[in-house]
Amino acid sequence: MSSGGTVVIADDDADIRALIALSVTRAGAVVAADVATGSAALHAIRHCVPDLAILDVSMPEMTGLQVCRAVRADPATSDVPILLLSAAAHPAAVAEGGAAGADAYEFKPFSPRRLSVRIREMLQPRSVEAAGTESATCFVAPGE
Amino acid sequence: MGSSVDRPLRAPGIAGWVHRFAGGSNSTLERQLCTLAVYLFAQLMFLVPGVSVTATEEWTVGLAAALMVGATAAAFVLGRPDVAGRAAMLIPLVDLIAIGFLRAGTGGPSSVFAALWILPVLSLGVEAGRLPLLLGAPVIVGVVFLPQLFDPTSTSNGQWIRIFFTPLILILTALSTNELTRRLRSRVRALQVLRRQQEALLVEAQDNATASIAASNLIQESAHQMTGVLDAVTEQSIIGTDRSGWIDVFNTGAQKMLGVAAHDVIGRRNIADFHLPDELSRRTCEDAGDTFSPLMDPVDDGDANVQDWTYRREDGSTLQVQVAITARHDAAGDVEGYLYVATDVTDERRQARMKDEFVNLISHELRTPLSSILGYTELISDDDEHPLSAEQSKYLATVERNAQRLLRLVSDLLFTAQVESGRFTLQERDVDLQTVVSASLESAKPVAEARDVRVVLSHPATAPHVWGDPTRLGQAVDNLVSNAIKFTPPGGRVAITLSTAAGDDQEREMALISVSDTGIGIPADEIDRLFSRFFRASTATQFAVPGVGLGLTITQAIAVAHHGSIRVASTVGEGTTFAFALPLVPVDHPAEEPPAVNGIRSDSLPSRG
Repeated sequence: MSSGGTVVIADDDADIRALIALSVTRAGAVVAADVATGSAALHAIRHCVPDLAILDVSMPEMTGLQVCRAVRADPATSDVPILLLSAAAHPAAVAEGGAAGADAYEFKPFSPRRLSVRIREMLQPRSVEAAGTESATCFVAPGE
Repeated sequence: MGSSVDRPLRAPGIAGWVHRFAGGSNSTLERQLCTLAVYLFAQLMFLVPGVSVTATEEWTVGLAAALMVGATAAAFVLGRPDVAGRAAMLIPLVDLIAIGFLRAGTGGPSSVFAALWILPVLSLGVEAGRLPLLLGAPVIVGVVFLPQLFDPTSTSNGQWIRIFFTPLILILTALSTNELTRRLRSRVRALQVLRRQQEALLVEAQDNATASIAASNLIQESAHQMTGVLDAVTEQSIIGTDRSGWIDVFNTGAQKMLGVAAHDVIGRRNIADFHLPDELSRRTCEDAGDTFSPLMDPVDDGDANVQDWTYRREDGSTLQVQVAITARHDAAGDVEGYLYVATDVTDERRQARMKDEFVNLISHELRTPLSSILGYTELISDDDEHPLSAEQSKYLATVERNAQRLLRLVSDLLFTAQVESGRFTLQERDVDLQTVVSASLESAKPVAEARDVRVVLSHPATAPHVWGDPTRLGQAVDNLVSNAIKFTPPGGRVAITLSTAAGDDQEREMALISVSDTGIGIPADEIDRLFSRFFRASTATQFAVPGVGLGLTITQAIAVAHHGSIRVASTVGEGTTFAFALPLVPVDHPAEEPPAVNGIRSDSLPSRG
């Protein structure tokens, strides 16, 4: 499978992070950073400017929604597609995520199979124009 | 009226004497006694030596005395108050005649006793009416001419002149007296009428005063009672104001809740002083512009209006209150002020918030491990490189089924908590019910097949549309269908029917989803409790049907939130039918699409509970 792009993953649960990472890999993308807190996620996104950021809503230090707003507010990162992941199974949460600037929303528990499809869909437009140029160049250590 | 009114009026001074002489019950006798006294005095003249009074005709003097005695005796009888009638006026006539005979017997026209006529003439004059005068005038003329009847020749020319003038003067005197007493009587009558009116007014005024004292006592008593009742309420603040919000009622509960004494508040403070200015102005702006007062205007329709507000205590601290606002009306029915009955809900709200936070936390904490379990289970079963044995697949399916069951339970608990706290929101849009029902049928098929239960769907040619939350409606139908399958023994049948029907009010058309099964049924005495939280029918526990008793509670909450209803009919051993009714959106006027939620994709809502 061709390398579709770079993805920053942020979730405070290591098992869930591993599950997301697997879905990213299966979608043909590369995990650029794999972090456990909101502030680390913001740092990683600013550092890497990934092709996709997958953020848990409920995280220490900064929530996924706060990260989302900060990313959108920064011109350098405002174009980064964001997928929010949340255990809050409240339809109103979708609206809240949309207001914060997220492009998509997935509820926990999620199907890794379906998440892979979703990631591939979200990377598609970018991977065509950026194929083979900047992939796999940015790595941030987990937990940074 | 009192008996005092009937007492004779006592006029003062000369008028009083005239009155006594002219009227009253025993004045006839008094007048006669006066005349008699003067007559007797005149008789004394005969005995006085040197006075040249002699009786020329002895028998006439005797007759005069006899008449006078008779008249006095008659006055005793006729003058009594119980003898009514006008016979009393004959007495002065008899007196006139008696004096006439005395005069005739003592020298006729030259007699000194002619002056005695003046008293009976006055008596005649004071008799009421003109009749005594009409009778008296000929008598006067008669008695004046009496001596001429005895001796017409002995009269000189001067005497004839006197004879002509005397009756004239006497009659005029009687007339004048009559007129004067008539006027006096009418004045006295007028005075009596006035006095009666005055007394009546006085009595009326006294009655009114008594009544108003009684009324004022009653008002005081009821005010006292009301104050007592208001002050006995110590856990609720009761504040009364006029139309502008100035406080005139401030009970013990209000003093306790707001930390200020009633005498510092009544007449001095406005209800707005106990509110947060920000909250007031925010609600003022939100509603209807500057003139709208959120504390007063919503209650003008007469019903109590219950609102949540923040009260500010005297020391600046705040508390959450639930305030019932009602209008106070005056006797004419116009709004004269408002009554604010507030309950402190600070603790209640804090507890509700804590409960919400707890439920949210638990739900999040349970979902995260479940996400791992379900995610990794899927990874294992999807692993093409290391395919599982048939037995392993079966075990893994059991793990997944139970994880899903746990997840449903978490969702149901969270949803129930949301319904209870009123934070249950709907993402409403136009919903095609046929799509919803078909999806439920599809998702129920595997379980139904596993249990050997046949599920059939019948629907009308045109799909009914409703305005609602498709996820929640799907959840409701899922609950009904999965219940029906769960409670139906193998070989049974579940029928899902989609139709339309007139609502209970016969005005609105309703969409109807009915789910019938051939299951174990519900005993009639348990039907009422069926929608209560955690209630499970005895048949459910008896046949060991799994569940916790939240599905129908949730389904009913969804129906109510959609302005619909849910009904149930059941026979033990034969089956149960649930009918879920929702207001129909007419097909030719489809509801407008709600605005998209910032373009976000929200088609991946959580799996239905």
